[in-house]
Amino acid sequence: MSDLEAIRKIDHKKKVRIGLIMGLLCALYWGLWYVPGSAVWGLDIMVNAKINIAAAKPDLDIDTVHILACIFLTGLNAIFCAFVLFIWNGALRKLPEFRREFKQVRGASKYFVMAGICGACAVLGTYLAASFLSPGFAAIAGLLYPVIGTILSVLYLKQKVSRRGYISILVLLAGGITLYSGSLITGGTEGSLIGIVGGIMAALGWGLEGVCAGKALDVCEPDVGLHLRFVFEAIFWILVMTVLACTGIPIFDTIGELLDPVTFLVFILLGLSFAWCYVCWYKCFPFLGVARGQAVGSLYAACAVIFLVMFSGPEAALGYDSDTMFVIVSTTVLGLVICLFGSYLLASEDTEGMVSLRGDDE
Amino acid sequence: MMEGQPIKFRILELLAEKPMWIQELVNDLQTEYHMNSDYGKAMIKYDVVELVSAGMVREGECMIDENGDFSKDHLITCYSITHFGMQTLDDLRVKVGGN
Repeated sequence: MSDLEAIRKIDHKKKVRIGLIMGLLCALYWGLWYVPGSAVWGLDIMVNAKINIAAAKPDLDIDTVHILACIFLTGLNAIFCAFVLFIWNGALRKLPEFRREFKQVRGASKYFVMAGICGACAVLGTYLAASFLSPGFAAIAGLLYPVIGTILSVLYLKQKVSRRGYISILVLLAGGITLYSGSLITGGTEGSLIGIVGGIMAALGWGLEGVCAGKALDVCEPDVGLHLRFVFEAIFWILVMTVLACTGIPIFDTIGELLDPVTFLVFILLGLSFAWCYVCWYKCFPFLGVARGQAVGSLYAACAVIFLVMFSGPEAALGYDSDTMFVIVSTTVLGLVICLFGSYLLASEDTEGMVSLRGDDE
Repeated sequence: MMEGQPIKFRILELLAEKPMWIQELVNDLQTEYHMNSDYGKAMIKYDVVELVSAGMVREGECMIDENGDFSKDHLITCYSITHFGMQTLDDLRVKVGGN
């Protein structure tokens, strides 16, 4: 019996260790995603896309041209994630399960269609926030998604939220307001309103996506479910871009640039980091519990800010100039710390979550 | 009813019939889903662990696999469906039946 207990303990420790590694990998990949996500704007494929759109539609203002370029980039991001996950699931021999879940419309794929569309809104919002304000702002704005997720789980999934849960939401909101206040105090740059809307879209989109995908992911393979979510997002963007192309906007004109090895590599990095962060995120849940998983995963915002400062320099990462440096840096860092604390409060609530994410009903 | 459906649907259905040890569950599913390898075995076990974490399946009795039925000298567990798992399965049956 003592042997059994010892083995059980070792087994449990091993599971927690795997879960922690997965959670940390998720934070690293997610944080890393913002680096190719901002570097991509310097590549010919994006520069020329904006030039082509502006030349074909001279009556469009510069912000609209930039939003169209963001749509193009978000579409390519989804296509590359779907592509990377095809290789991933092929190597894991999960394509037969992919076929089964794809065919099971009412029990599975319907929810992934909804999650894909909400995710599309979130990723587009992130790109808008990153390019109209700063990538660092976009990363931290995304941290607000548990607020939306929790509100929706109360209204839609009829779940109960404890007092601690509500306090965490207030802390997260305070963090969000601190973050947004930097841009509001300094008056922001041109188009910063679009960036703020983008930040809200990211939080709203990811919160909604969590609720939709959560309905089906419990009874589906996470690798396959996430793959379906990206496939549907890619289909959604292909349809949107086709409609735009039909209206005379040359949105596909620079797609051939993907044959350039450097461009292709950057997009593969985008797909790899984003797809794997999702995969690791969902893989850590069975071992750590959703709450703890989300807490570890929330470190992505800190990782993103660190990576962006390392690769792009603090000025580009946080989007300040010499006049606004103090306000932007202090509100961003303070917002990040408060949001991380709020996520920690929300996450550390579930102390029984090591084995089951829901209460046992024996 | 759940044959040929996503594998977790089928795991819930099998456990709804009776509690099962991991090796019994894996044996049944390996043949049905053509996953006859050690890797396939590990994948099915991971699916069950995920269902436990989702609160649909609960871990019961466990023992050391001395005979090597599943994985020699490692822990093997008996699994049963929870009330929430039963509710989910009923819901899935309606959805699958309506397809």
